[in-house]
Amino acid sequence: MKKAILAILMFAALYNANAQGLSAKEIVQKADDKNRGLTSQGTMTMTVVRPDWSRTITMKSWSKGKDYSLVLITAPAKDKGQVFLKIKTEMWNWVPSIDKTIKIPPSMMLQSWMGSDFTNDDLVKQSSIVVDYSHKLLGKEKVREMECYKIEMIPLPDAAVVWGRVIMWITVTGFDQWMTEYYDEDNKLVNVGNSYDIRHMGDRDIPTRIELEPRNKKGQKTIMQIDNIKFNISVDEAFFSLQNMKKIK
Amino acid sequence: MPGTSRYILLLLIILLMTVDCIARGSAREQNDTLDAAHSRDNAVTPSADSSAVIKEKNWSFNGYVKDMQTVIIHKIDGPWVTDNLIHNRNNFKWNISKSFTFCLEERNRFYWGDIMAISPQYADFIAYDNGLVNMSWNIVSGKSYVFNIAIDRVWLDYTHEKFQVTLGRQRINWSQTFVWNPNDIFNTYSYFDFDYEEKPGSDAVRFQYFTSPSSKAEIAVKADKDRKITAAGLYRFNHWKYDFQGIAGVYTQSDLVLGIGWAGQIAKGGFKGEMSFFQPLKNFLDTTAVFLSSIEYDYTFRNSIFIQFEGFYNSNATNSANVLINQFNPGLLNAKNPFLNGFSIFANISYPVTPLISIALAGIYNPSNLMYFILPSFTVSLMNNLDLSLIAQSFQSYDPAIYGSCQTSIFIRLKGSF
Repeated sequence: MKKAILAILMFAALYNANAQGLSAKEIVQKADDKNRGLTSQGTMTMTVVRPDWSRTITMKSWSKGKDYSLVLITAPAKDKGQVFLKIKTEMWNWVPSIDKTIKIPPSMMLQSWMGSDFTNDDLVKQSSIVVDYSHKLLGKEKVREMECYKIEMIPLPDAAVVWGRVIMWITVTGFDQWMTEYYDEDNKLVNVGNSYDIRHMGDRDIPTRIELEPRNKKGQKTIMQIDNIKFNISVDEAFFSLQNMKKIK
Repeated sequence: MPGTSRYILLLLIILLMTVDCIARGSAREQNDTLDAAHSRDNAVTPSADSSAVIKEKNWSFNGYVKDMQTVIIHKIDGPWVTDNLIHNRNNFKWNISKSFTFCLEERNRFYWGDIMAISPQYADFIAYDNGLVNMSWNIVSGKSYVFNIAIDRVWLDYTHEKFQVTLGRQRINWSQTFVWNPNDIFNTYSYFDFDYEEKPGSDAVRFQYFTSPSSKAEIAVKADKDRKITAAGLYRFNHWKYDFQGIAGVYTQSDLVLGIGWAGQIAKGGFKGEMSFFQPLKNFLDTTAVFLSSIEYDYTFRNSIFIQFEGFYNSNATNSANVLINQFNPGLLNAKNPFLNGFSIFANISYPVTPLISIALAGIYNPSNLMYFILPSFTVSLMNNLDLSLIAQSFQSYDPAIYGSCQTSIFIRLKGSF
């Protein structure tokens, strides 16, 4: 534990030195780069929590930049083997039992993904927190013991984003997306996202648990747990193809 | 003849395995060098195999057990016909090597109930297999029951870079739309046969060559029960954010088939379509082609309400009076006449009330035959791997000639997946 704190402090010193005079956009860019890496490969567990029940979905995912991503469902049994592929702005779903590749239209991208509080879009990161928004630094605030930059993000007019406004708290020391508030077009708070459990994964320390809570629904949330993830692995663009979608395991 | 075809199959398998061994032998040296380089930086090679990072077992086994109770009602006061189906499916997949994959999927079905006694041909109908090799067997049957074992997928796949060949019973799915699929010339299925989730397969050899991440060329050859050959090619590519495809070939040695299909979007909703022409090869110039076309639009609203419309046109004038029987009899289903003739319209609305409960209401209307279908459904997830469904199919008509055969079927299904 001491070691971890020391490491965080060292990181803090390092990042602080670099972070002087960063613009809001640069901070978001750093947070996005850190979260995404140039490429990544990981396994995740998503738990949909409701007052009376919960359901768990496990998956493997691969990504390269913001243009390519591939997600393979590994549980529950009835959905196992389904694959979601994103190439640039297009997305496909492979259903192995019937040998069918279904092209997912944009309206479906914003729909809840597999019954969770996440959308298809959240999952494959179709929209970008860097490119699709204008950013404004509102100052610094402490959130759950962490010093954070508070940044307001307004979607650009032609961006395919569901939100009217997003407020993001990014940690000063680690550039982690620590808390996020999602507002609709009427400026009503819809969802709150919180990150927890900073752990060493691959080559970096990142929050490994993200909880997304709809504001007006009590006892309801979706937890995304990162079981393991590696960044900057060597993976070719050709990996993200309709052919590989059917072969991935 | 059956002997000969089996030998050819065997020879092909041996040939593919030999090619693979040679390819692997020559690739081994290269890989050794690559592995050394990759182990330095935790790299993943751009292949489907992620074993460089996570060690996986090279086989998988899954499936389900279902119990479905059916009640068929002609008249509410008349006798109701009931039957029950206990259905187990087992899917086995073995990743033999980086290039070879083997798949075997089989289903075990035990039917019992009144329907067996009412229609004596029911057992034959369950045993029906349209493939070159019969792989469906009624193990035991009596007046009120039948137990069937059937294999509907058994194939060996060989992949080398962008080339892939699959040999054996497999599903060759060229469809794009939801209900009616004019481009699905290899293994026609019926939308009404909802309980057969995997849909039938074909005894075929299929060559695929992936020309880019989102395009491919394909050639498939299948032989059916009557040893009739269907052979066709497909080219699929992606442009303007649409998937387009063209198909051409010969259908059951009797028709030239040409078709196109697409999947894209209009106003953020899905816009898909398929069209096919079947021109009889006999008296090629004197006969009129059969034209099938389906066009679909779907849209998902922010509140998760999903709506879907599909229009279908079938120029085939062959009598469609037995549509209901045809729809459930795989022996009568064919790609050239998949549904009632004339125009049909399908509309569907579905809504996930909670992530566990989903309700849907679909309808089909065919004015040329004065028929309509009402198809409500309700599904609830009881546990992570246990689902309960309540589904109804009501078939109605204004036509006095077929009014008598109107009926409503109600299905209650419990499904446990493993």
